Amino acid sequence: MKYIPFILIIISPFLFTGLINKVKAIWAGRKGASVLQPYYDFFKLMRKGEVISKTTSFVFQISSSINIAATIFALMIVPIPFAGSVISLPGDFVLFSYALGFSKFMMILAALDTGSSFEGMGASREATFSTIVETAFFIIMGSLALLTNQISFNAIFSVLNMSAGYTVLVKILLVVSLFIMLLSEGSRIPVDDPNTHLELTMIHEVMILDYSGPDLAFILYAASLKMVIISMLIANLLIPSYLTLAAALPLFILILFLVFMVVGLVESLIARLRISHVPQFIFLMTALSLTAFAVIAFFLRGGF
Amino acid sequence: MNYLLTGTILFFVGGLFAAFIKEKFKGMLFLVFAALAQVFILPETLRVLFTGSQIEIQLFFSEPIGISFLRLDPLAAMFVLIISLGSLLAAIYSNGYMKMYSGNKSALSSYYFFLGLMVASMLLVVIVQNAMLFMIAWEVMSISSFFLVSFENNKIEVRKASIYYLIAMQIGAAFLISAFAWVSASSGSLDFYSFRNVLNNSSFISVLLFVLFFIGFGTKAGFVPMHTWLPKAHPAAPTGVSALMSGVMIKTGIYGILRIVLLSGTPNATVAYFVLAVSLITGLTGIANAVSQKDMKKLLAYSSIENIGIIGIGIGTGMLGLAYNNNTIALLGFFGAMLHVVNHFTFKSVLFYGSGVVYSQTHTRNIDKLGGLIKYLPVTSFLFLISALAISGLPILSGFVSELLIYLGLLKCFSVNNLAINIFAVLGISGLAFIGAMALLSFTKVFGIAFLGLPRSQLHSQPNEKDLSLLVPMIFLVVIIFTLGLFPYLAFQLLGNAVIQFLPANSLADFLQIQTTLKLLSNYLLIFGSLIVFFYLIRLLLLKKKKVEVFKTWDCGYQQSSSRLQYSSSSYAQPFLSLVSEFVPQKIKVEKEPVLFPKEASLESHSQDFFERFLIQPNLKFLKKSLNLFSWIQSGKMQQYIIYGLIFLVFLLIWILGVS
Amino acid sequence: MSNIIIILLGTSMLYVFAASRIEAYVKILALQGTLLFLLVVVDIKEINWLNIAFLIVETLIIKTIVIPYFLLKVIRKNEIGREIEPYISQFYSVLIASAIFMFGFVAAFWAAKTNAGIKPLYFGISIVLIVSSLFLIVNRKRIITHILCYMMLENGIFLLSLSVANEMPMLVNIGVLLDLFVGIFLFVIFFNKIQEMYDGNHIDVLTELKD
Repeated sequence: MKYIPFILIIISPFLFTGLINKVKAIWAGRKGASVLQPYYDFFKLMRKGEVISKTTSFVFQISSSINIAATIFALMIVPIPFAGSVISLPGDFVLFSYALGFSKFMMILAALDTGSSFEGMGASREATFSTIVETAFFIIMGSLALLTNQISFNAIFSVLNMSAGYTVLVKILLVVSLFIMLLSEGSRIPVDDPNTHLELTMIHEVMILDYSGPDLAFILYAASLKMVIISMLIANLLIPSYLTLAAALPLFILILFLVFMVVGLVESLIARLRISHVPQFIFLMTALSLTAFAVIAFFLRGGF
Repeated sequence: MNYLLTGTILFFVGGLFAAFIKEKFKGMLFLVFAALAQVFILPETLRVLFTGSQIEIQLFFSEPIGISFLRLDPLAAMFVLIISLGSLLAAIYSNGYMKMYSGNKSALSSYYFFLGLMVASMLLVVIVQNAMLFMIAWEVMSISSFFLVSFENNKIEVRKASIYYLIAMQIGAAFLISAFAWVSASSGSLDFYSFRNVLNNSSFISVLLFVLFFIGFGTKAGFVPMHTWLPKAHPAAPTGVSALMSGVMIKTGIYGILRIVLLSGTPNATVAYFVLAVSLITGLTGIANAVSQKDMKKLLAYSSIENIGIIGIGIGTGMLGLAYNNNTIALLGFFGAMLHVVNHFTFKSVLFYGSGVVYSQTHTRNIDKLGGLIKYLPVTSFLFLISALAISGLPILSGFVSELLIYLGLLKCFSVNNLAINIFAVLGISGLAFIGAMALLSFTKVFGIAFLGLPRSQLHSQPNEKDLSLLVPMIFLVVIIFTLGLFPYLAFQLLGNAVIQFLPANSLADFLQIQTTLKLLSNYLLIFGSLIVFFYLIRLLLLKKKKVEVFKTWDCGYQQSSSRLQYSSSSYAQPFLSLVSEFVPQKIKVEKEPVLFPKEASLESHSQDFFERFLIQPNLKFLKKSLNLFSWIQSGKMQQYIIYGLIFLVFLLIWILGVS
Repeated sequence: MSNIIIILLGTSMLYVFAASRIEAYVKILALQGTLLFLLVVVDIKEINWLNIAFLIVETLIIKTIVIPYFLLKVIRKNEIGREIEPYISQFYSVLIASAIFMFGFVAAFWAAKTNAGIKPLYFGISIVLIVSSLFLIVNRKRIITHILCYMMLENGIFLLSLSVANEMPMLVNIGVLLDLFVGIFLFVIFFNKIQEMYDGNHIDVLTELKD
């Protein structure tokens, strides 16, 4: 019973990816593919064979499995309102971030393993941008730990209640910050464009150029799931802890849908940034979370 | 204790004998002695570690040393363990690695002699508790390692590096000597226990003394800005020695700092903040510079600086915990720091040994000239990969556990109602995260560029890894990395007694709590590991009956590809380095004919160490100038020197006759 | 009797300051050896044959005969010029010498006042010998003069050992002998080598040895 929400989330991610595409299509005046289209693609890929570059080694072949395993493991750490998280321990968000880091490490190596200059380029950018994202993520978690005096996801979100006074400001800052993280980690516009191929400007898509078949299916799934995970964090921030189950669960699902619709809207409305401007954009996340921390520290420790 | 001393002497004697026998048997003989020494050292050390007891003996020397205590407490035992095992591994590795230098008999003799001397002196450094004897052991350690660094002294850059190293060590020693002189003068004894009275108060003097000690020990450990010798000395030394220096010797600096913390009792909060700040800067500087390096061993040296920073953050956190009377923070900080000492020893040794295999097979350390080594050196590559993952602090490997503990310590600081500690905590965790992300960048770089892809240049011969003695140490250490990574509570049992020394007596509850947390963590990590295996099996299952075609890398339609077109280490690091160009200054030289279609063009890029460029070099220049004013003293004229003697003689006469 | 000998020793030093030929130095060296021998003979209080034999061998045979002979041979063989070539002229040298003598006697009286066991005259002259030979080393250009003055310095130390009650002259004697041996040894080697290498026997060429 406890794991039902978890299993629902595990099978849902392509629905959200489909939703983004649908929103974009409607905004562009098209009818668009079915929301379930990513599922069809996924199962098609699972049935296929593979083409593997002769330059590659075992690193290339294990990376996709590590990628999906790490992402699912990360999902196990993030709590769902009232269901809690599958696993929890003090400082579990460190485990969360470093598990995702593990998959990133292996994906970068897989990209370099092919010896392609395009994939090397993508790997280089991925590694660079993740330095900023990870730092900012830890500032966010530090702020929450300061605010709630707790040090695990479960504990933080079970007491978090940001609906009055200065905490509203903190909430807005952190949500925007996490949304930027979503765009960056999910490789969406304006950081990266998942629809272009073979451009000098890509990050995530260019790293997986040589993957095909089940490996590619794993990676696409992991990428979608990662976005869902981050939007779950946003939902957790937005839902105050005093709500009842009946109120919290629908709100949770609503927020997930809303977040992905906003992502779709952003993709429709904004052009992607020049690659040299991307770091500044992601760095906004650090600035926002630091501001949030400062606000919290000021009100909690400043004697106000 | 007598066994431990016997083991120490065995290392020295092994080196001494190895120096005088036939070249073929030198390595073997030293190895036999090193292995024999383990038999003497390990049982006693492990007993102290597991029971938390303390062994002490007294030695009687004539003045000025006087009565000296040798004490083996859990803290010292932990370092003895690392030193002893690390030396055994270095002995095994040297057997294979030094074949590169066969024929050079006198150099090999001095190599083994000084190796034995260095190991023996390191062991003495951690057990001696008499300031005078300690300084003697400390200096012997510095000087013997100097001779090891200058092994290939026919190369000018090696000579320069080793002299730079020696000078840095002497500057550090000067700080230590003045600190020891001061503290023993005011305590009236050379014994470490007597220093407690002087160090254990919050007066300005004890803060100043701590800073003096920190600078002295920090020079050995490689804290910024005293770190500049590491990236010079590590690449210069033969690989067995670099691994020993980076994995073990610099830890004696950490030992010194921990010992002083232990003697200081409850530290001053200012001192704790100082340690934390310096360590953060050290970690960030080290890894930011590692990103920019092309020389594999230089990169590893900078990463050592980074890891010393992480250890320092742990120590600083622990000290903060003590200063604010919070046992949980103190426990987490010190445990994290000590576990990271052990961990860094394991993975950094593997990385250095791996780079040694690469160097012995390809004769280059420049990763831009390598590539595709995983095809020729599969075992080395695998071991290198595991250690690279571990040093980046990624889960299911040992590096994660120690970093997690330090994170936890810093996070616990948020519960202290004090603005300063909260701000330092957030700086600490975000700094650690930034360090982790940069470590990911630099180790994907070194592994991805050097071991993956296609070879970037023609090698003399096809690399191979037939020599088992090069692989055995790495395999041994990687097993430890996995064990400590998956079962972190084992580390707790091993190091618990060393950590407990730092804490007040009433911290048992915190201990139990950490133990349960670590057991829980172990379960989760096993889940993670099995998830990976699970998905890999699914993948195999899916592909079982499918066609898996092997074809060339997708080239985006460009048919004229060459291995030179691959991303190089500098291009891989460039986007990041352009972000931090203020702190990692780059010198880029482009040469191109000023025509529309230039036929030849070249680009060179060098990175500089921020602190060396803006702090060390200007000071050196100033010193050179100001000390030049005194160069007339050494004129080379015999007469002048005799006048000095004459003046001294006359003064002495007048002094003795007139004054006394 | 012993006082007369010591005065003679001091005077021989004055002569060295005034002398301008290297051979004169060698002769003074031999003279000093003889004087020291006489001093030892006059000074003997107890009959310790071993000690006496040793002192006689050292002073009469080595100091008076062997070394001067040896040095003369080297000088003649290497065709070293006769001039001693000082930096400061002879005139001022003699002035400085008298200053050194004064310092020596002041020091001697000082010492006698505080330390009862010291013989003032011995002590004073030995200080004079040591300081003035050091001065001479500084003030001479040639390597050979350096060695000669070094011998005189040794004589001064020998005398110093006599001035302090006869407690451990044996030890001092052995030390002196060893010094002599090393001095000569080094000198011969160095001198022949330097001659080959630098084609000159001035001390200035040694400046090049500085790093």
